[in-house]
Amino acid sequence: MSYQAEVSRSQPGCFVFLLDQSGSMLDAFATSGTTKAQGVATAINRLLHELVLKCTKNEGVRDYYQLAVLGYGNAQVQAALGTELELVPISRVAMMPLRVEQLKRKVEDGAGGLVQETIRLPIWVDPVADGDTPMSGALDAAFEIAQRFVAAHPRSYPPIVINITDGEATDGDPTPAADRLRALGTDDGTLLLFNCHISSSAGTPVVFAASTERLPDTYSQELFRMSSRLPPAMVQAAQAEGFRVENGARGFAFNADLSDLIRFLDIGTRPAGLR
Amino acid sequence: MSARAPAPSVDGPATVSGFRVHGFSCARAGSRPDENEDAWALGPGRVAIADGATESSFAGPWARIVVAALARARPSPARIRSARRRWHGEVPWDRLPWFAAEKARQGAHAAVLALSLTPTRREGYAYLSAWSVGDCVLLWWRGERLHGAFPLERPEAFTNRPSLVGTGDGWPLARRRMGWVRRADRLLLATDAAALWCLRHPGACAGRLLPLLRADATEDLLDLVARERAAGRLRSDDTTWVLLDGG
Repeated sequence: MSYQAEVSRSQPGCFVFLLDQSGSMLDAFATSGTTKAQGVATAINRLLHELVLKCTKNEGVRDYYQLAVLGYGNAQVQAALGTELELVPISRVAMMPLRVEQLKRKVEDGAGGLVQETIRLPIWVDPVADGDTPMSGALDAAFEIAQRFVAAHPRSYPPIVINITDGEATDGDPTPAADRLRALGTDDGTLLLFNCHISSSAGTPVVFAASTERLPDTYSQELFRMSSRLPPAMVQAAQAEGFRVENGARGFAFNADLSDLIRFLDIGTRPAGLR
Repeated sequence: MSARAPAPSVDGPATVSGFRVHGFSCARAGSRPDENEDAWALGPGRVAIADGATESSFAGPWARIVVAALARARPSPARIRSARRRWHGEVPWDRLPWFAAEKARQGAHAAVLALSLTPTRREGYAYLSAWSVGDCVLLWWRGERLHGAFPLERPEAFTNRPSLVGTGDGWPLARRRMGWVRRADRLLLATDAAALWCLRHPGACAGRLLPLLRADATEDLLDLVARERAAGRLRSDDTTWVLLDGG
């Protein structure tokens, strides 16, 4: 059975996040007023924070995961985490936030009152929005990264690539690059490519669809076909989170808002058990 | 893979109320011996075993602190509070990087099983009292037959989210079992993966494991664990068995 490999230090997991950093990402989400660029940066920072804590053990961080975060916009693909288009072990991610911001909030003190609490928010990725949408280039860069990973870790859980975008590619049809990427794999299965389309409109979101039936246009249908099916464990996770997920559901979202994006990322980064 | 040396006995010789004690513990595959988060300890008429939760930081120290506490006296809110204070004192807060401090503030947790055995005037019997939070299991052998298990009796009863004793506030929801044991009985305390293997393979447990534990055959026990893990019959997790042999 596929997608069963346990994640461990000797068989780490791999995540590659592709962030659309085109000019249209300056537009706001319809439901929150936050710009899409800021929302994506917030969601990624939150996820990296959770992954670092998940892997923290005693005084250090165990390298259960290797990560890459790539931004694409303004006719180029560049590292949004670190400086190179390569995977970074989670222990190094823990040591490389750009800064740690502090947020004060009031919480209940358990005795009927409120007490001020300071929350530390590490920031790895800043919002960027400029230029066009070289999505095919980003998928090609992800291919190079993932190919190196599967060669080095043939028994690991397959890489998971999550592409977050608000529009169509401007550097040609991304389907061939997506197909080439999804053909990679390990002994445990083929690479998983998930696509999350985020929107400024107040359209009805479609999350974890199993068919193109409710998708409004050829662009959304193309993005759907580029997306991998959810492995059984992720289907269960999505159902546990309240999503109505059918057999054949794909790691795909359309017209997602910030809340949908955060939940999508949470489910899409749950490979088999961490040991 | 190597096994950890037997837990130090507060009572001196490795016996508890006349039952000889034989212990074995090894870390999960791929981990160093010092990364083993199981712990066990002996005291006057008492033995305790704990399985530190993998998701927690400093779970190994917590497991060691709590078994040391419960090997000295019966479980009580005051004893657990004292153990918590000791854990807080042992965490090196001032030298932890931001992520390690944040994770440590979430606390450590462990499944715990504490046993007392009291000699009685009833010839050939001792009185047992067991206190359990989580999925460490007491397996009770009478002859070659598994006479019972506590708190989990069947493999299907194990879950991914057992109750745990934590370093935060609150008194854990515990289960108790009391009764008479014969002097010839064998009592086996086991952490979850080890217990699950015994419940699924009682014949191998009685025929292969118990004799090796009685003989303190550490290398043979390591071979057994390695073979069973490779065969997929024993989950790769920290593995601890403590045998109280009255025979």
